[in-house]
Amino acid sequence: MNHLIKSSSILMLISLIGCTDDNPSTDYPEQLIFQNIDITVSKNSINATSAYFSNDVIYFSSPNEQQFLSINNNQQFSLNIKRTKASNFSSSDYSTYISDEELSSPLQAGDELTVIFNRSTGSVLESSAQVPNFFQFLTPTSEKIIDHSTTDLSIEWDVPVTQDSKLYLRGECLEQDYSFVNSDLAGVPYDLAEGQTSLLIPMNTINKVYGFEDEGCTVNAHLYQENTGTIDPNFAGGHYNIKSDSSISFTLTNLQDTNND
Amino acid sequence: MINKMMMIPLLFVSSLSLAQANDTKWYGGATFGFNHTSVDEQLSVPSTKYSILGGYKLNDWLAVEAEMGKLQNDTGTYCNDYLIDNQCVNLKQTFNHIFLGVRAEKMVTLNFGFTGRIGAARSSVSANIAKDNNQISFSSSIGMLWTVTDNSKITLELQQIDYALINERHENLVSSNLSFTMAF
Repeated sequence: MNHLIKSSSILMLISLIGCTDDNPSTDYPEQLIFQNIDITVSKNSINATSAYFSNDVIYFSSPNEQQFLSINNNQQFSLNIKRTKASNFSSSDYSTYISDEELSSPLQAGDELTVIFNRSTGSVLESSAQVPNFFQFLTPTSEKIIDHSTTDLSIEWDVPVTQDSKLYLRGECLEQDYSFVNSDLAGVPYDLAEGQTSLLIPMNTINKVYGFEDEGCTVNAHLYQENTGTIDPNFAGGHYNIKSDSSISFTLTNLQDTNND
Repeated sequence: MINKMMMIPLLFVSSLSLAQANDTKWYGGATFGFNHTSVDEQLSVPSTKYSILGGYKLNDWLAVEAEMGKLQNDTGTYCNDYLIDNQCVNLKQTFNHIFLGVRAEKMVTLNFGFTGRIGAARSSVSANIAKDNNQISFSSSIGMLWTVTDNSKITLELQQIDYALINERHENLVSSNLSFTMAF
């Protein structure tokens, strides 16, 4: 009888220990999982976020759960995936930055980016999207210095934008909404109409941020073009949005200082 | 998992089954039971189960028995993160099992005895949006039986079946079953 009790206790202890590291979400079939992919590409870098949900955020504890990003089936990168049971979701847990040093060649429009998800069940799921067009800026020329107290800022590019496009100006001297820092929404936004190929920002309409002492700063204009990819049909759903980020740098001086008015 | 572990000793403690009259060979009946599913398992089989069973007595204590059962249908809604969009899917699952094996009975008194059975069970699950799954595996049960009349019995037993799950995995569950059978 003692032997039976000891054996039962050991079995129960093993099962308890086994349960603590087990994440039930890894048992979900992919038909109940939503895959959400957001990728922003410049010609020389990729910022990819791929996260999985099913009622609650799924935190993959299984080391056998892996995901990769394949470029034209030639180059493959490992994508981050969270493996803990933390209750708070942070997109950074699922974000991966691939720099120009890691890319074998610059990205081009039409390149196929495939997110490959290898599950511990043996399922391999592939979601693909094509890199959208990049814009070529015609004006201002790179490194141009523009006195915005006397000159309108004229930005022109080669290809008409699609619906709901926006252009963002980013620079340390610009007054902007800081709730979007380090995201694609950071900066001073300008709405664009479909088909637009230029934007004129009248002089003295860009405010200098409070406390910035210099005359001007380097400003980057970012123009995004978005494509929708295809989520593997075995998933319950989700989305695959891919944006191309075209940018140009120039210098703005003599910005409007509203704090000294 | 803990519940299952705790139920294993109980498997040796309780059950009811039906005894057949000595001069009859065939018997049949119905079963109602509950699966003991751990609450922390998000994708498990439903609790309630039903089945019909029948058998042929080889002698006073041994019989060949078959059972066809199903679990209560299971439904659930699974959604994407609400901050991203309102996509949801509805999952409907149907669980079934077929058992074939042998049952042994040992009467202790005129009206009370112990019973158990071993055999193979084929469990299957069908789902509207996920892959179906099935498996044949070992199944066993043990319990107690009371005779109601010369030709009828009540059996209370704990039954172990490996149920197929839609994630191509399986869950070895113990259920508490109450059966009523009649000889004919």
